[in-house]
Order: sequence, then C-alpha cells, then structure tokens
Amino acid sequence: MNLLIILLMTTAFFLTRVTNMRTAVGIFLAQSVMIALASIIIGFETGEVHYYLAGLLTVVIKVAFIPYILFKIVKRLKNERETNSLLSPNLSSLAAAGTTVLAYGFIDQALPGVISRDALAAAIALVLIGLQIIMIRRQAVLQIVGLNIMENGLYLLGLSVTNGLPLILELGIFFDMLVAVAVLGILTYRLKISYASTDTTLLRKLKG
Amino acid sequence: MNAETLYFNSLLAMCLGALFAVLFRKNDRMANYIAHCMAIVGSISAVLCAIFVFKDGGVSLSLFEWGRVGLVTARLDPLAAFFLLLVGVIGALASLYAIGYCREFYGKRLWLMAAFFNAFLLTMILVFSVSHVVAFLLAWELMTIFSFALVIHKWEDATVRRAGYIYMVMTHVGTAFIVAAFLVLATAVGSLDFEALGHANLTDPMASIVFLLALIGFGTKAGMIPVHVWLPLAHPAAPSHVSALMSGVMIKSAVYGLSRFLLEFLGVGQAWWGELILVLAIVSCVLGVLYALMENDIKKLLAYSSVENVGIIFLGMGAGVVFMAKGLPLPAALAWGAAWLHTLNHAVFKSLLFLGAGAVVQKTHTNDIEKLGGLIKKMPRTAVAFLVGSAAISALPVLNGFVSEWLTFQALFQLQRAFASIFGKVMGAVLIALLGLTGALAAGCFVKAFGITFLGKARSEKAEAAGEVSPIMSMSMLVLAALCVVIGIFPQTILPIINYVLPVYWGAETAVLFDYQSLGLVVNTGVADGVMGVPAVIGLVLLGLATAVLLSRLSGKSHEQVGDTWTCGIDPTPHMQYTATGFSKPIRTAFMSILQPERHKVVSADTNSYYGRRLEYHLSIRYFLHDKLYRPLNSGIIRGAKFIRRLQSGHLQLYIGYVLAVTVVALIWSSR
Repeated sequence: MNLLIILLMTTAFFLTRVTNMRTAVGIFLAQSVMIALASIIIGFETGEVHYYLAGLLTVVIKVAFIPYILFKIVKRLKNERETNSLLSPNLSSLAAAGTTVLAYGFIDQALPGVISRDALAAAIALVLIGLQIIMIRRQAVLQIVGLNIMENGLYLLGLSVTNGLPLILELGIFFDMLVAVAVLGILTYRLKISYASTDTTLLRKLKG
Repeated sequence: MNAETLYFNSLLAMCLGALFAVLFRKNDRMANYIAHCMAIVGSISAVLCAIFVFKDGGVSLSLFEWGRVGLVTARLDPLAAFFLLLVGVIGALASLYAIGYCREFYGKRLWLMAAFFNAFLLTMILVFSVSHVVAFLLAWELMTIFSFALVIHKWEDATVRRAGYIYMVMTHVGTAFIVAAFLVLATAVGSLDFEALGHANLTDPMASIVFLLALIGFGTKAGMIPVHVWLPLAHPAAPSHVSALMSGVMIKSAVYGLSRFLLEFLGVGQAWWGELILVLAIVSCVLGVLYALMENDIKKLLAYSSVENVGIIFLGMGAGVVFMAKGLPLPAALAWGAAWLHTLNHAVFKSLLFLGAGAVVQKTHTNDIEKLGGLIKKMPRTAVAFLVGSAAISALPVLNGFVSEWLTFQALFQLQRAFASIFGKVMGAVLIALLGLTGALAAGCFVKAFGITFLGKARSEKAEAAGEVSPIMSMSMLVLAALCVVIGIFPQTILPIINYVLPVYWGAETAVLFDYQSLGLVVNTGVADGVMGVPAVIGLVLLGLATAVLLSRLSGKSHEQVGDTWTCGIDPTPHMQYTATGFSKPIRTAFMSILQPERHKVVSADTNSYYGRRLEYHLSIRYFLHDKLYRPLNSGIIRGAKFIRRLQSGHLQLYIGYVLAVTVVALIWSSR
C-alpha cells in the first residue's frame, strides 16, 4: 500500500514536468491503475465487497473510458504543445513539493496520530497538485488531466478514511467525472475549431 | 354595518376591480367602467370605515395566522383611520376622474392600468391598516411595485423608463433603511406585532439609530430633500390620476410611518431628532418651492411643490418631536395636529392640481406651460378648479392650505418656549421667516402656473385647439375644489377628526386644544394662543363688497367697452406675452447663488442686423444636490465596482488560483 502511495506521488510530481499531452494522459492512466489496485488491496484486507466494485468501476471509467476519450482528442489536436506555462517545470515541481509538506502539516495538525497518515496526506497533496496543474497549464487537455488528478486524490481520501465512502457516493462521483470529461472533451474540440488552438488563455477574449 | 365589514368590503371591492379589469381586457369600455367603479366603491367603503372607527373607537382584526411569522392583524386605530380617510376621499375622486380620463387610453393597455390602479389603492389601504412588521413591509413593497408599474405605463418612451428606474432605485434604497429600522426594533422586542414594538425601551444610541434609519427610509418615500430626486421624474411620467394618488396619498404613507415610529415605537425621543427634522424640512420647503418656481413643465412644477409641502408637514412633525422631548404636551399636540391637517389638505389640493394638469395635458398634449395660454376661455371649469387649488396651495386665506399652514406657524411660534438657548430662539425665528418666504414663493409659483397656462392668449396651435374635458372629470375636480373651500372656511368640519387622533397620544387635555365656534377657531396652549376667524372675516369682506357694489350702482351708469389689449397699434400676438421663464426671472436673479442659472444665447448672424434677427435662448439651472451629492456618490460606486472588477480578469488560471487559495486557507483555518 505504501509503495502504491509513493508511486502515486511520484507520478503526480512527474506530471508537473510534462509538457507533452500524450504523456500526460498516459501518466493519468498509470495513476488510475494504481488507484484501482489500491482499492482492490483494501478490499482484500477488509473483506468488504464494495471496494471490489469500486475498483472495477475505476478500471472501467478511469483506466479505460476517460483515457480513451482523451487520447482521441489529443490525436485530433495536431501542433498543440504546452508553451509559456505560468511557472517553469522546475518551479511547478517545487510548488508541488511545498504542497506536499503543507498536506502533511495539515494532517498532523488536524488528525495527530492517525493510522493512515501517509494515505491521507498524499490524498490532499494530490487534490492540491491537481488544482495547481489546472492553474499553471494553459492547454485545455492538461487542465482536464489536472481535474482527473484531483478526483483521484479525492478517491484516495475516500479510501483511506475508515471503511471508505458509501458506494452510492462513489457512484455519484464517478458519474460526475464521466459527464465532466465528456463535456470538457467536446468543449476542447469546439475551442480548437473556434480559436484554432486549445490554449485556454484565449478565452480571455470572452470577457465583456 | 361596522368598521370591520366596511374594511373587508373595501378590500374586496378593489380585488374585484383588479380582477374584472383583467377579465375584460378585450373590452376597454367595460374594463374602464367596472374597474374604476369598483375602486370608487372600495374607496367610499374606506371612508365610511374610517368614520365608524372615529365614532365607535378602534378595532383590531385578526387577518390570518402566518406560520412562524405569527398572527397578522389589522389595527384600525384613529391614526390608521385618518389615513384611510385620505386614501378613501382621494381614491374615490381620482377613480371618478379616471373614468373620463382613461378614455384616452383605449387600446393602450387600459385594462392593465385599471388593474394596477385597483391593486395600488388596495395596497395603500393595507399599508395604513396592517399592524405587523412583515405584513407592513410586504404591503409597502407591493405599493411601490404597483405604483412603479403605473409610472412606467407608457414604457415606449425612454424618459418614462428612466423615471421608473430612478423611482425603483430610490424607493428600494429607502425600503432597505425601513427594513433595518424595523428589524432593530423587532429583535429588541422579540415580536413582530406593532403593539409590542412600542415596549421596546431602546437605550439611547440604539433608539437614535432606529430614528435615523426610519427618517432616511420614510423620507425617501416622502420626497424630502436630499432624497427627493425620484419625485420630479416619476410624477410627470405617470398618468395624471395616478400622479394625483401618488402625490396626494402615497407619499403620505411616509408621514404615517414616521408618526408610528415617533409616537408609538420610540416613545419620547431626543430633542436633536426634532431639530434634525426641522432643518431637513425647512431645506425641503425652500429648495422645493424654488425649483418648482423655475420649472416650466407643469407636472414637474407640481412635483417640486410636493417636495415643498412635505417640508411643511415635516416642520410640524419636527416641532412636535422637540416639544415632546422638552415635555410640552399641548404644543406637541398642536404641532402634530398641524402636520396631519396639512397632510390631508395637501392631499386634497395637490390631487386637485394634478387632476387639473392632467385635464390640460390631455386636451393640449403638452406639459410645457410655455406652449399653453388662454385656456380659461376653452376650459372654464378646469380653470376654476385649478385656480382654487392654486390659491389653496399658496396658503391664501379662506382656503384649506391657509388653515394648516397657520396652525404650523402657531406651532413654530411655540418653539420659543422649547429652546432655552439664545441660538435656539434665533433659529426658531429663522424657521418662521423661512416658512413665510416659502409661502410667498409658492404664491409666485402658482401665479405663474395658473397665469401662463390659463390666462392671456394661446401660445401654440395645440392650446388654441383645446376644449373642455368631459363632465365626469370636471365634476371630480370641482368636488375637490369645494372641499378646499369648505375646509378653509369651516376648519371645524375637519378638526374633530384630528381631535380623535390627538388624545391617543397626549391624553384628554388635548380636547380643549382647538376651540372651534361657528365664527372662528381658537388654539389654546396656555400661552400665546391663536385665534382665526375666517367666517367672520369673510362676512366682513362680503359686507364691504356689497356696500361697494351698491354705492357704485347708486353713483350712476358705468360704461363698458370690450377690445383687445392696446399694443401701440400693432395687433397683439401671443409672442408679446409674458413667458413662464421671464416670469420667474426676478426670483432666479435673487436666488442666483442657490440656483446658479446658466444662459446660452445664440444670435444667428446671417440675417440683416437691423431687422428680424433670430435668437436662440437656452436657460438651465443647476441642481447643486445632483452635483455635490448624487454625482460623486454615483461615480464613487462605479469606481468601486471597477476596482472590484479587477478580480474578474477573464484569466482562467487566475480563477483556479482563487479556488486554490481559498482551499488552502480553508485547510489551514480548519486545522488551527
């Protein structure tokens, strides 16, 4: 389990440095696989059936469906690269590191001595790193990946609290995610058609 | 028959009126007659209800139980009944007038106007009767909204839309203050019923805050300077019978609200409350009448004159508050009585003037008195009614305006007893002088309004083509004019009603305050009593006139010849007459520092310089309150909004950054 958390954090840090969209989606896919694994491991440890179900849903939606959509979009977006991010890759990695420290500090303050300290801290760090990625990156696809990373963080948070979230809540979150990614995918494509680019800073023009 | 039945009867009639107007929206004639007749029925019920309350004493009616808000009651006490009388009398006559006036609106959404008119009357009755904070605020807000709907009836016109917008903004700002005042009171008491609010016993800073909130809130509705700006815009925009109701009755809802606050909810207040009201009131009087005098739009002129009259009413109330604070119940009763009487009188003559103006505007299709003239020959009945109204509003004796303004003067004379310091005494005298100035300027203003409109020769073809209005319209105007005369000559017809209201607040000794006999009226306050003997004076004047006529008859035959005015041999043309702008010129010059007139004259140079030069002449005055108060406020708000708008950069990453920042702050906050 700890290994999975370390891997999750590593992939998240890796993502802060990636500018190629295909790689970013690949990393997200890898992360989703880890999350699904974590879900199944916990299910194995506790013997609760709904963890298996949740893991299965993760595989279907986050490992298969969402990456499929994203890959399809990326394939259509030729000549799109992340340039001129708000922060350089080094700085954004540094910000992610700061965030991780903040997350640990928060967990130690709020829940001192909790068993799943690492998992909770990693979950919060993932949420914040996802938010950072959305903020720093200009490319729409990378922002979608950031959103998914956030969702992975939330899911991890749900796993690491005692007994996990009720299945109905997780189902709701999955459905939310599915719709969000579908809509965002369509919007990204429209953006490409309208502005000939998926650089979201162009949306500034919409301001009255 | 009792007050309760009549009250519900009145509400029902107006509901039905609104309903029928909607049902008959395809048939304008039916909608007009049925809706306005129902309004008349409802208004007369309201009058009778008020009379029953005066006769049998107040009643409290439980209307309905409203969940957690509590039991909503309507309390018909003498104060409420007095204002119901106001709605009833003016409502009935305005509705009668509307039957004739609204023919102009056939095919122009008449049904909508008639429905809103009924609803407007209904909500005014509710405002004056409900005795529950939430219900009152609801009725107050509905009254604003229905009157707004009536103001913007001709919404195709951009100026009308703008007037409606300003009206809406101003009254809503005012309502916010009223809501705040009520909430402070209600939380202190823990009840939403008006009866309970009287036991608030607020300590001083809180009571003063409530007073200030109420004064700003109700002052906005009343059109007190400096929050009067909606009045001169909304009154001209509304149809005339609606302006009559708005100016005659609706702005008096502020007087009602302030009476409730100052007499019941706040108890005996601080002297400086009254002094503040006095200062604002006298400023409203003087500025209101000055702006009225400068105005050439007849309905705007009347609107500014409403500002002036609200000032006179507030003078009475302010003096009353001072007397109460100084422990002088009889002068306080006199001052409040004067304020209420002027409220009633102003309602009568101002609605008369608005109805008259409406008749003129309907027949000539212009508001600009520079284009009118000579209407006395074409519209004699309207002219008589308007003349009576003008004389009444100028506070000329034998008319009702004189009675209440005289009583206000009497109350102000008593101020010398209330103020101990020499500064206070001087200021009290200055108030009296300024009120005198106001009366004189008002007379000038209405000489202009009547003279330019009705006398002389027609200044445009529209005025030339005018004719008398329908009998139904002139009848309602003449009834109002008759009321002016009756109240003026026999104030004892109306003072008993005031005498029903006064003892509620100042005990039984106020019964001797007004001593009215058949020949005159005596005010007993212990010191410096006043006597007014209008009937006696009239008798003497009539006697003198009769003698003069007799003598002239005896002295021989008089010789009479009718002809044009002699103008050095040229045919007199309308352009030779005094213009409205010219008439007000001396005043403009005298009050230059306040009015700051700006002249703009253009002489076209292309014609022969010795004969027939074309002149263009524009004159405008500056409203220093707009320049000094509203414009800075306006630009301040816009600047603030622009500053805040920097948050909305349109930069997607920045928005996410806000979310991130908030999340981090929330995390840190929660783990503290």
